[in-house]
Amino acid sequence: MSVAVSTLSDRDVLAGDRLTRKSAGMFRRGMQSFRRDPVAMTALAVVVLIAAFALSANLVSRWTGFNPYENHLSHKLSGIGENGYVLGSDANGRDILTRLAYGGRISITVAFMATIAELGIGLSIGLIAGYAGGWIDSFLMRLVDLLLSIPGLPLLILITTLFQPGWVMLALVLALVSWPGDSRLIRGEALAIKNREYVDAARVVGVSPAGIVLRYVLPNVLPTMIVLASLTVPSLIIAETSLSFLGVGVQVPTPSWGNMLDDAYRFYRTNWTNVFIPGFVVFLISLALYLVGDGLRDAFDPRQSKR
Amino acid sequence: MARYAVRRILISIPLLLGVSFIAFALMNLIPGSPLTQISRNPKVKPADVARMEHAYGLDKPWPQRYLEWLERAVIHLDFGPSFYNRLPVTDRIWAALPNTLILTGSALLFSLVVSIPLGVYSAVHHRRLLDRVINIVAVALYSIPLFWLGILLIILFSVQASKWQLAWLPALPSGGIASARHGGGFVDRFKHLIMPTITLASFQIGVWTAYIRSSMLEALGQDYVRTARSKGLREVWVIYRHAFRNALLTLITLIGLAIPGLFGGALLIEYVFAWPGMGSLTIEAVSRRDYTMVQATTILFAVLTIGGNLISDLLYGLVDPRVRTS
Repeated sequence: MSVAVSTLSDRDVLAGDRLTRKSAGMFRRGMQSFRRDPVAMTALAVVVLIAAFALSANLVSRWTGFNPYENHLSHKLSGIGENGYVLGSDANGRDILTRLAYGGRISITVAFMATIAELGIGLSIGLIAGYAGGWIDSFLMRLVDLLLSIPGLPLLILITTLFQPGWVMLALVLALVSWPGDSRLIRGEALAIKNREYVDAARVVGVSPAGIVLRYVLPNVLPTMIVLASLTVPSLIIAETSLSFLGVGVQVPTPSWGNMLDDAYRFYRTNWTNVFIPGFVVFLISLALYLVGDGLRDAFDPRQSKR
Repeated sequence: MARYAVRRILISIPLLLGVSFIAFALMNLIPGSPLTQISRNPKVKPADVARMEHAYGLDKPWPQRYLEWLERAVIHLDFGPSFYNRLPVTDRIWAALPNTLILTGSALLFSLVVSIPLGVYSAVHHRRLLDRVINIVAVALYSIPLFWLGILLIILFSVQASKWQLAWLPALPSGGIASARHGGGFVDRFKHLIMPTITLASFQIGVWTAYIRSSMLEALGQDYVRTARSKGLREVWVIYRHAFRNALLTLITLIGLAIPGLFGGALLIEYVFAWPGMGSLTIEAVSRRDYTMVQATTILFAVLTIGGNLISDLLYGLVDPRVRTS
């Protein structure tokens, strides 16, 4: 008897495995068609360039010869190319180009960490709600409804004002406020996968719920997660920038693209380039990331293809 | 329809309670009390701190304070005294609310007026050059940090126009709701509304153009469109009467979903354009550490969002009878 059950289990689990492996093939095919998309590849190059510039902030500092924190009050608000400042200087005489790299490092790191945390929470809650169903599902989804009915930015401002987080905590706060939408999406996918036959088969042979979620449901939501990640990073870069612009995000003297804009905003009448430059970099990297996300969605989900 | 409406309205009541509870609980999770900073001041006597605690009701346990606060907020629409100057928070909010609604309302209208034709055009001319251009412009529009776009518009239209020989650009006021001198007329107010509206709408235009395009593409591929075409109906008629009416359904849901973003955006835009609305009020309260005010505006933003979603759901029920019965 036990032998019979075990043969059944082997076959069905193998069938399940083949299906998951098929989704790995889908993954590879997706990447291939992504590589053929000229807009997405150009966008990816732009993302890589900006990220490399920001992550090698030390080298940028050595090349410009300016320290991002050091004030040169006699050379404040220099124009582009004046006094050795390639992109001008801010109100404290600090080099814009150097601070752009250091600020980018913080902004990108915060957005990246926040994305990982947000998707982690969203994925866990979505999988639990979708797979468990019943009262757990209802409870979690009502919680999601509740959190979605508070506009994100006012809530973020309330939390950052009350707790004044450092930049690591800021990433966490961003994640805590923005996961509900993701978990709803993942829940929908988990619900659909849950009723597939190979999941039934795995359940019949006694694979534990956790095992089913990890081995059969998770690999199938992976493409969605990749697309979601590429759309979450730019939205969080903009969120961080907005908060720092309002003075409740990354705190001075640590530069971020947002608080550079906050600094420059006071002098926009005389030094418009100081406002233009950091904002333009934020715009450029967000645009590039969104285009990469669009490309990934087209590659992985031809049904939703926009082109 | 009446039953559906009543059910939808009842669902939003626990949401409102939950939101107010979250906002209240957050305030009580702050390390120490809101008066910590004051009590650190050596000139302030402990007796004074105790008196202030009593005045703000901070000496009571917080669940009791929540219920008392809720009672006042719901029955008397009174959100308590400001932590900054002890004046009633509610008065400021009533003054600011209409301004925010004017701004978000006009941005909503403007983005619909722009994105519907763009999205429909793009879908009808699928894969043509202009469709691709519209597509990239749409993505670009939602990649722009709103406040940055606002500042750029101010620089362009209010500050530098004459300096850069751009005098042909219309000069627009850089902020506020009306001019202080000879202001307040309709034309003056309209001029003040132009730049904040365009800035706030830009994000929604990007999102909605993309969505309208894809839902129109889907609708245009349906059998009833082919039937309409094979009946020999004019193309304009097929597009607007048959395909667009169905694409409109998604749009109603989208408007509901866009409302939180619209208020979040309004917050930044009000700050940049010195627009005396709820957003400016929130930011002012943040810089003054006026906790009651921030709490009240956060809750009101949530109330507006829940209200907006309710309206969008009711509209959806009105145009699509299937929703009512499910």
